[in-house]
Amino acid sequence: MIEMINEGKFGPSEAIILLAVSNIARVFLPYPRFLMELGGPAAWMAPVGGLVIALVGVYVMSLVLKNKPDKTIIEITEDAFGPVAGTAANLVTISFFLSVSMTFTREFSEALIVSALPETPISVISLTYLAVGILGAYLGIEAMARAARLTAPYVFGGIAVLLISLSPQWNIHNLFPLFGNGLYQVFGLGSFSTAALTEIILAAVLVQAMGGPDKFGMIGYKSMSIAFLLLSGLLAAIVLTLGRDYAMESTLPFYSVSRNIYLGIFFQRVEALFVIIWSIIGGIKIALTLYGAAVSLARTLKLPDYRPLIWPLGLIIFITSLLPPDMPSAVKLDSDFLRPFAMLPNYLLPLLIVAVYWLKRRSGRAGS
Amino acid sequence: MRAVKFCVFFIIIMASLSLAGCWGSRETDQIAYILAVGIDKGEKDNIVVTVSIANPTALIGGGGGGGGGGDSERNSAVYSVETHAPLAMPSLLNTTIDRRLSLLHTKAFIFSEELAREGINKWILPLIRSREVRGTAQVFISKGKAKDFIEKNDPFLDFSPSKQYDLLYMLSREHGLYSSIQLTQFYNNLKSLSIETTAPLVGIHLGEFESAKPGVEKGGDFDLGNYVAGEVPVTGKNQSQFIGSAVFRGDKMRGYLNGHETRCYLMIRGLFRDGFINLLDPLGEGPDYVGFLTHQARSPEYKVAIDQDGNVSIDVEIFMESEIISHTGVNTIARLDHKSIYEDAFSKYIEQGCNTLIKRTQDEFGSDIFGFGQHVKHRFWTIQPWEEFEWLGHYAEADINVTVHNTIRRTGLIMKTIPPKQE
Repeated sequence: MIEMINEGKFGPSEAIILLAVSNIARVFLPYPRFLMELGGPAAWMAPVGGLVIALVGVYVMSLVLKNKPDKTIIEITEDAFGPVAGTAANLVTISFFLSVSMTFTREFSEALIVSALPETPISVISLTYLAVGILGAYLGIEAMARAARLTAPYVFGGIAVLLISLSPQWNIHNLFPLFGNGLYQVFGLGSFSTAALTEIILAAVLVQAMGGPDKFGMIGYKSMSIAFLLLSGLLAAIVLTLGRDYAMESTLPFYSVSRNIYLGIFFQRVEALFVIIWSIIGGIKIALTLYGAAVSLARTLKLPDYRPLIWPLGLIIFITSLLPPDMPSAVKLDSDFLRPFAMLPNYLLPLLIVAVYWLKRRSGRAGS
Repeated sequence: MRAVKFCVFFIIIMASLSLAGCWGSRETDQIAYILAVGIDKGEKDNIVVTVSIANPTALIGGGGGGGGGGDSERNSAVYSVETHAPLAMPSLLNTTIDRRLSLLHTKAFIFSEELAREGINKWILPLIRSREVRGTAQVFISKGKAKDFIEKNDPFLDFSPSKQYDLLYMLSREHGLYSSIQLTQFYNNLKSLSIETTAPLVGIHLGEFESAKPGVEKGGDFDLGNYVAGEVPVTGKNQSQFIGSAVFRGDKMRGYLNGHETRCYLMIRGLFRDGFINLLDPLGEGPDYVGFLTHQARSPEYKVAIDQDGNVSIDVEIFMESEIISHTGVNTIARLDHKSIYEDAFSKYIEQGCNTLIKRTQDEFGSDIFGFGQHVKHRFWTIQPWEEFEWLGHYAEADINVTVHNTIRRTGLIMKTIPPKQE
């Protein structure tokens, strides 16, 4: 039944780019401001600790997936916890994907209003993002992976241009005091916050399309390394350019730094390029999480196809994305709800599955 | 299949009709672009905001045929309004002007000295928050009213008045007589615990040569930077002047530096690029001068020490390279024994200027405009002890010494001077 869901296949390079692009989406939102508040000028170090946690998460997830090489995390969860608890755990994963999609739809829409389209109704921008998301999810993960691979030079090239163009304005003293608000804030709270991501559980849902659990570890390690190092680099660029205080105040620090590019009379006012980059990444992120939710639900409900679920789930995302009354509420929802929530499917769920399998093996040995 | 084709066709037609423009779209002939904003203290707790608005018709005429370039009065129009907030200004002015005023192309924000001395933060904050205002716009402090400056500023060589501010930003690197600062940097410095801010001084010079400094034989010196804006004895079409720097402590202006002090300030910060500096010929018998075209060879080196009682001492080494491009004396500078004398004389002159300036900022302004705090904070691992140290309070007691190293690399087109024949 499950095998009837045709996800398509794509290579490791597409998978790495797809997951890395999805991971860095948060840097374009108010999230860097939150990290600045947490870590001060050392906010750029927080992703280094976050990377270590994420790599451990990928390792644990790869152990889980290797237990059942022909299945995804959805079936494995059900297998480990049984039909009732397993379905409940899968619903947690599905609601996580929906929450990410909802929050990012709202935050990307708000970001576009604040930066470029102040007079456009939010519903129109949200619908446009969702249209991209629905189209991507409908075409499938293979199409999304190839689209991500095609846009990668533009995205990563754009980021490289940004860093190079800003370098004349960097003030190395902005990085000091070196450990910012303190080791606990930077490597404790900051690292756990950056480690709260979507891509480990997403990769575990997509594992069969990515080539199976054998490739999961390699893809996970590489995509996490690329994404976290980029995140760290961009945070460092924000601190170097804006300084701690302004970076902490700015609603969209990435947009603020891109507005600061000033290489003489000829090269300035290039932030529109970066609005396009973040719109591409926003579309990919929303499409990916919508796809993850639809495929996970289809697998949980043992449906032969996920596509009929895209429309109702898209509608749910659209409506819930408009529920926060204002932008600060949406940002607070991200930092206070979504970040802790991300720990459940990405880290706690695989650990629980490992524990359950271990207990089952132990009780099996005791029984024999 | 026909139904699908019809649906696709229908969607394309509907999309092309409904997506012809977005909500915020405006034609360029519906917008008036503000190029410079001046803010003065007003009556009744208000401010007076003066704007220079681009006149696109005149700009097109000037750029195309070159005929309109000479009369810049037609290139921009100046309006003033008294209001309680800078960003209330466009709406109020739009009761008179029929195009929507936009700050998207504003290149300069000019605050009057009177306003700056009372505190500038509350006027900067709304600008930083606005999506239209760009952080790359420049900040100036006007000696006298900003309104007068904007009204009398007449950059007759530039078709676009905004070009003047772009050029000024770059021109400060050519002589170092004023320091440029962009809005973002200015705002950052207002908040920083390790540096106080400065801003270039602007002013209007109404007289002729009355403000000229005395020559050497009348007790003056050869320094060309002993002026602040509005004092330079220049006559001509444009009365606006850009020289010197306003010094802030927190968000309040405390005083200003003249052109020479601004050069020393830039050298200590490592921001000086090029400049022509005159000084008395150390080997001359009469009042001869020698002119150095000098530039900062590399970034200064700072050595910071903090003792157990929290006393800070800082040694700064500045590295300059010069070319002799002017000399009224007859001594041969290229002689190796002479060269070192000229190098030392230059070094001592700059050293003295820098040390005097630092002393002045400590005693008179109590303001670390050089950003020594940025080097001091390297000595702290985390924010909390750094904030508790309160560097800006310690600055006045810090022991700071500047040493200047100067190397004369070239002597212009003359290697040796032969004295003229005596009558």
